Amino acid sequence: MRRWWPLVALGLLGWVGPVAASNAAVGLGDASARQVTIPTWLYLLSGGAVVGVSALLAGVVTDRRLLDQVVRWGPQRAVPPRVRWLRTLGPALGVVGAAMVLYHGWTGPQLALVNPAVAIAFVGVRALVPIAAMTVGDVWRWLDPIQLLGARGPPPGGDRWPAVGVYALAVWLETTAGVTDSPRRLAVAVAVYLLGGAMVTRVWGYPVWHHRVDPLAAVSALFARVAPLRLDAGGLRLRLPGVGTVAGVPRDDADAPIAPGALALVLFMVFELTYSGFINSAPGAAAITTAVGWGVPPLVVYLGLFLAGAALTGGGYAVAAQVAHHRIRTTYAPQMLALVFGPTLVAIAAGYHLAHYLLFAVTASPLLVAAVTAPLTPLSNPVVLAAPGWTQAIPAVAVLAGHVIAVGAAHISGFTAFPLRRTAIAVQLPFVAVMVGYTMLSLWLVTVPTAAAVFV
Amino acid sequence: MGEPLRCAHCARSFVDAERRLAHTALRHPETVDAETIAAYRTLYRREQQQLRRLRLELIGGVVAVYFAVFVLYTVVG
Repeated sequence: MRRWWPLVALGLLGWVGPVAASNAAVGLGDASARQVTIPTWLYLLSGGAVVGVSALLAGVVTDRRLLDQVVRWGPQRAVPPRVRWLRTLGPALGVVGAAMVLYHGWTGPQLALVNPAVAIAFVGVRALVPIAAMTVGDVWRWLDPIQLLGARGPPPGGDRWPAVGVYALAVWLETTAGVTDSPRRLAVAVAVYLLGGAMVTRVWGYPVWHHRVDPLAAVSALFARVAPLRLDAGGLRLRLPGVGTVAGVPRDDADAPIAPGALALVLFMVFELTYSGFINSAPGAAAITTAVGWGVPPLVVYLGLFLAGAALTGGGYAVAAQVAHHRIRTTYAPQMLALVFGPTLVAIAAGYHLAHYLLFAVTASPLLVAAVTAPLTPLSNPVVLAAPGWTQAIPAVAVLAGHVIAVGAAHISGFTAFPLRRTAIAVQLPFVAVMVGYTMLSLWLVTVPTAAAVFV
Repeated sequence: MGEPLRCAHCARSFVDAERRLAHTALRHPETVDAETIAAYRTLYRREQQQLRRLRLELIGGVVAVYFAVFVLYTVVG
C-alpha cells in the first residue's frame, strides 16, 4: 500500500499547477520568471492516470501472503470496561441535538447562518457524522436517539432498499426544497424523520428501522467499513483504511459480501455527492439555466438530472460487472461480481464526502461549537474560519485517495474471491476503468467554481 | 462450458478442475493430501510463468500511460 503514496504525490503535482497560476494572477505574477499553466484536460487525465496506474502497479503484487498481511495488519487493544458507560451517553446527546434542531428551527431566527438548528443539522450531522464514521467507526449507532424507543437486536431479514428510498427523498428535499435556507422547513423535515423512526420502531421494532430504513444508520455503518479504527468485542483495532471493505468474501454462491440494496445505497452515495456538487457548480447552474430557457420547468430539469445521473452511475457499474464476467471463466453471475467489488466503492464515496464536506465542516465548526455551548440562544455573532490556501488541495487529494484505496481493496477482493491469480487480476480491470471515469468527473467538479443552485 | 465442478468441502463451484484444485489448496489446506499438494505446486509454477509475462505487460502499461500524458502535453498543451 505504501508504494502508492508517490503516485498520489504525482497526481498532486498535476494539481498544484493551476493554483500557483491563479495565485499569481492575483498580483504575485511578476515575482515569478515563468509560469506554467496546466490545462484542465491534463489535470483530469493525470488524475485518471493516478488511479489507472495504481491499478496496474497493484496487479504486480500477486503474493497472497503479503495481501493477507495487509488485510490483517494492525495492533489491537482491549478496552477497559469502565469506558463502556460512555455508551449510554450517545443517545442522550442525540436526543438533546434533535430537540435543539426542532426548538431553534421552529422558534429561532429564520436565517440559516445564525440559526443553531442549521449548524447542528448540516455541520454536525450531514458533514461530521459521516466523517466521524469513516475515521473512528459507526457513530450513528451510538448517537441515534430513536434507539431509546426500542431494544437493539440482531439484524432482521430483508435488505436496505427502504433506506435507499428515504435517502433519495432526503437528498431531493435538501437540494430542491430549501431546507438549507429555511430553519422552519428543516425542523419540519427533522420532525417527520423522527416521527417516522418512532413509528417504524413501534410497529416493526428498532432493528428494522436501524438496519433497513434509516439512511443515516446505513451511511454511518457503510462508512465505518473504511475506518482505520474498529471497535468490537475483541477491543479496539487499528487497521489500514479501506481493508474493512475487503472483509466478508463469499464462501459460496449464496453468501454475497454485501446485499443488493446496500450496494445500491453505496452507488447512490457516490452519485449523490456528484449530483449536489454539479448543481452547486457554475457549469451546472449554467446548464440548468439553459434547459429552463428552453421552457422546461426547473423541477423537471432537476428531476431529469437526478434520475439520469443515478441511472448512469448504476449503469456504468453494471456494465463493468457484465464486461468483467465476459473476461473471465467463472461460475459466478455478473450480479455476484458486482456484489464482490461493491464494498470497495465505499472508499470512493468516502473520498467524495471528504472532498465536498471536510473544508465546510472545519470552517463552519465554530457555528456548531457556539450552538452547543449556548444551547438556548441563537448565534449572536456567527464566526466562520477562513481556510488557508493550501487547504484547496484537500478535495482533489480526497477524491484521488478514495479511488486509490478502492483500487487496492478491489485488488485484494479479487484475490480473495478467485483461486487463480490471473483471473483475480483480469476481473478487476473493467471496475478500474469505471473508477477512472468517476475520478475524472469528480476532479472536474472540484476544479470548477461553485455557484448557488438556480431556481430552487 | 460443461457442468460446473463442486468443491468437496463448501458450496462453491468452478468451471474447471484447475480452479477447483487451486481453491481447495488455498481455502481448505487441512484436507489436501500429498498428491494434491504436488499437483498444486505444478499449477502454481505454471501460473508463475504466465504471471511473469503479465507483470511485464502491466509495467509496460504504466510506462505507456506516463508516456502518453507527457507526449500529449508536449503536443497539445
